[in-house]
Amino acid sequence: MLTAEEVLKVAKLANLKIGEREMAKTALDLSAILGHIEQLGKLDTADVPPTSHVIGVENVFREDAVTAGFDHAKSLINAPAQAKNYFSVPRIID
Amino acid sequence: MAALHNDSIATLSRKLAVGETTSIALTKALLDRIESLDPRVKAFLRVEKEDALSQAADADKRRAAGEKGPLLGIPVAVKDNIVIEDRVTTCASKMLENFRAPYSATVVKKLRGAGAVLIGKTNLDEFAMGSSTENSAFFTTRNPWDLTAVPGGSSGGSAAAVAAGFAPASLGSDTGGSIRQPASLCGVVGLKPTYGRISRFGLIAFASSLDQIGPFTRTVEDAAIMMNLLAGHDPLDSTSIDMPVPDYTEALKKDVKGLVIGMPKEYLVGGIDPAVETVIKAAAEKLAAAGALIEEISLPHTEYAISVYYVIATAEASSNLARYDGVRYGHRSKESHDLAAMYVNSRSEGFGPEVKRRIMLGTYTLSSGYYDAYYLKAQKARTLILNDFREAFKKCNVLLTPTAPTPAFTIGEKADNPLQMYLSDIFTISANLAGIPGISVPGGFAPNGRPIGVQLMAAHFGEETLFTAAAAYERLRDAAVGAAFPKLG
Repeated sequence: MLTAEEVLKVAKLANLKIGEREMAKTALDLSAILGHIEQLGKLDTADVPPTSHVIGVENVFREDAVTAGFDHAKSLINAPAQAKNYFSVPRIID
Repeated sequence: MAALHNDSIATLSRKLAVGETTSIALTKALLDRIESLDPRVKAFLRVEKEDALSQAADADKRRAAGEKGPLLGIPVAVKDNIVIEDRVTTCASKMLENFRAPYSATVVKKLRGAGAVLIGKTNLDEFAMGSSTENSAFFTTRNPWDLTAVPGGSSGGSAAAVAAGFAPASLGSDTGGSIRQPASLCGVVGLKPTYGRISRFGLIAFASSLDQIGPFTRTVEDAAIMMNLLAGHDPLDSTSIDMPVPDYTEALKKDVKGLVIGMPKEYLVGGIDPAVETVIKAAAEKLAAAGALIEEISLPHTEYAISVYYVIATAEASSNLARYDGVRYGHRSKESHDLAAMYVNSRSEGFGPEVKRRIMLGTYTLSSGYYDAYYLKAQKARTLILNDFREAFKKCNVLLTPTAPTPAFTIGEKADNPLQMYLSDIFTISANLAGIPGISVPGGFAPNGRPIGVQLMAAHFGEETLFTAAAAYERLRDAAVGAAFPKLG
């Protein structure tokens, strides 16, 4: 069973907030799933290579050619805040 | 004019070609049907009425100018995690509630190019994470066969739209069964192609080593028609494979005589609904009577598939969804007094409980000290699952299994138990882990009237074999299955 402290640590790494009310259920749900996943420990995988790509494609290259991208206006259509043709965020340096 | 809403693409295409109907008339009829019945089904998040009518008018003009094509003037619904330029795409998340896509997905461009009419965006579990659409931030879609039941998920809206007669075809995405499982639960055909067969450019990423786009249709022939258009290489998706695309409709006519069909014994064990088992056994008998050779085979690592999936899919999701930080698009919290607060508050307000759960699970298994025990271990176990299939396809051409262990469950039944919900994907997940194609074809009904699907799987790029077997099964199954439609009034 994950402790509240462990849940908070993961939440921090994931940039998520877990309120006190959600804590018990979150810890329980994550622990149940992790408990199920523990079964992988039964498998002997000492000599098995990992699979990251099922078809085995590696290093797909293309010509380094210039193509048209979005202009400023289009790039900013979803900007939550903007100023002077840039995305605007809270002040980082005082 | 006869009702058009239950017609297949192939039938509608013939009617359009001979002038029995027009795209405008067809599109209007379907929009009217959506307007009167979708308030009960809730398949659509947004219906693009004006846009659809203008696309339909355009399709009619193109036809009048001499253009032909199986999808010219055919309405198609699109899952709301596939982007259309200048239109809202939400992923059924508060995070993207107002997101207007600056570009179109390759599959959308292909459909537009072929003259298909995009009528609206369908509901899903938030960010395609779920098996029922109950994780949508907006509402739960109903199963058209029984409005108290889930349509399956995550592409539940796309499956329900086709089942309800709102569109003859739709697009979905399948990461662990998100096309095949809702197809089974809604009594329609759903295909997940081989990993790399269809471009994913413009599909909002969930788990990149697993995600595939695929079609929902009412018939196997229609799925082949859709695949003829959708399959193919795309320089904008480096995981799409540069291989010639055959005419998949040719495969429909082939005989199953001599085809070796494997039935994995691990898929017919405890926990399966008896009605599902009956349908699968009848399917095997009918295919055998038509000359196919049914062989019992073994996929010994099947029991590990769910665990492998929930390590790999959540790890990839935690990485993919790190991009939602409130900076360039998506929800930004009003409580953004500094950068750290903006990140945490935007994400915490924008994501729903299941998305948070999966991000946290993936973050946990990738975190320092756990990577080897979880992620690397799962990647190795993935190799064992892939090897099981490689061995199986040395002996057989296709595999026959249930698509889902049960017919559609009732809304709310599994909503509070994530692990139980995950286990409903037990028969579909392995195909994603192995990257092989799989199709769900309607096979029958449970005593309570809810549909049951039959799953067929083939080796990498074995879509033609899949279509041959699926079309044969569709001809052989109880004829009443293909003639039945939900009674929505």
